Amino acid sequence: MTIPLYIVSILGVWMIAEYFLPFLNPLVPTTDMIRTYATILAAASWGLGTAILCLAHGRRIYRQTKDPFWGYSVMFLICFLAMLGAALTQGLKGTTYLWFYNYIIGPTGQALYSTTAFYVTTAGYRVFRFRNMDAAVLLIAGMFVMWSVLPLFTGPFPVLVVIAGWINNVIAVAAYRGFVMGVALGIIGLAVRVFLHKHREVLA
Amino acid sequence: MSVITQGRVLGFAVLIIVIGMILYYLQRAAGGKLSTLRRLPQIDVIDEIIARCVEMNRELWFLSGQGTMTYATQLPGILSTFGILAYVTQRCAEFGAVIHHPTMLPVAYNIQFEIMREAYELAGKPEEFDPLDTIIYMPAGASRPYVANESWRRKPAGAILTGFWYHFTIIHAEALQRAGAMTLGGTDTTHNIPFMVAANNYSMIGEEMYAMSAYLSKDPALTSSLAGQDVGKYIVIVLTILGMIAGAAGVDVLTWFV
Repeated sequence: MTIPLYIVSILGVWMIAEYFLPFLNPLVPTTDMIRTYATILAAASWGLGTAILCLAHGRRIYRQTKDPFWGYSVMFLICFLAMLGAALTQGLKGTTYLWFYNYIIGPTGQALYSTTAFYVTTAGYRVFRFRNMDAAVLLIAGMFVMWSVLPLFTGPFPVLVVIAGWINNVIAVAAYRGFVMGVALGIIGLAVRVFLHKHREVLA
Repeated sequence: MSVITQGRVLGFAVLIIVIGMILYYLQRAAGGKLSTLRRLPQIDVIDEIIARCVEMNRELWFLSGQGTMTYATQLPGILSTFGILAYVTQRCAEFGAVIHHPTMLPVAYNIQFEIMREAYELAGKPEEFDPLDTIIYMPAGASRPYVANESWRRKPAGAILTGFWYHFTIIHAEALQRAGAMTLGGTDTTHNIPFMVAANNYSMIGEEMYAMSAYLSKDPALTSSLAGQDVGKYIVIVLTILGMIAGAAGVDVLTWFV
């Protein structure tokens, strides 16, 4: 457990130093090589993860009497083998693989994503109410921003576009920058803790 | 050739100061002087949610978002859920509330499993930890129909959403609200904060989540790191005010630091 943590610390400090200190520029090719290794390692972990996933589902099917949902594992293995077979025989640009992707995975994902619109609508209905001062500010700001994109309102009241632009470009950006700075400081804090081996969870 | 890359002098200086302050506070903590953290009002909300679940004899759902533990920008949010999860699970076990945690983090699953199991052991009720239901792994795509459907069926009385979130924040939070759950939501994902604030009863914005994790876990490393970050925040505030004044006076201060 100690050696991986030391590798993380040394490489982390190296990457930061290379970003700030120009006299380390001769080390850039080595740094790029390390980044490539990181990508290869990440890809290898996907392979390992897939193998473990298949083993776990295989185990569920084998012990079917203990798990009422073992049928889903059969479905998983069928889908996995179909995709793997299509990719291995025809490649990632093959018609079968693309058909699976374009006509099964794609539409399913789009259908799930599209449900967001309905949830946003009901959440908006619940939120945009004049309950207290905070809610009133949200309601008024939200009204201006929403009206500014509707020709029904911007036609007779073009000033709405100016007001909404000011809300988006001044108030929202100021809050956003303050927030991002706080998160950036949080990332620095995390980096220090990881480099000092105070956060072993990062190695999962 | 300059010692520090042009245009990155100020960033380097702030980085060194912040790291120095974090190390200083860590050293102080090692000497027994732990920095004091203000108690956030959201901690009382957690207790209120747990109490509601006990009173109504219904579940509490804990959702720890999505994200990848290999991305530096997503990792703080994910790690901050661990401290909160440990506290919530232990409190639930102590007060007899059933907690259900569908996690969407494959890499963090084992860590979260152990955190919850240990929390039950610390509460003296290890037999109440159900390895097949207290925590389950739910891939991100499947989590949307799962939460929408199961929250309607199981009717949790409370839910806590923390971590790194994508667009499905609104699906999960709104589905839980429709099911009648009292929700506390927090994230450090900039584009999903409005959803968290709008759809939940109570919210944690960005750093509040980190602070809550540090407060609840009582971890000296987290607390010291937070104190060091606060010094960085004061520097940023001072620099912003000075920059505003100098900018209004027509002085191009940025050229001083390159």
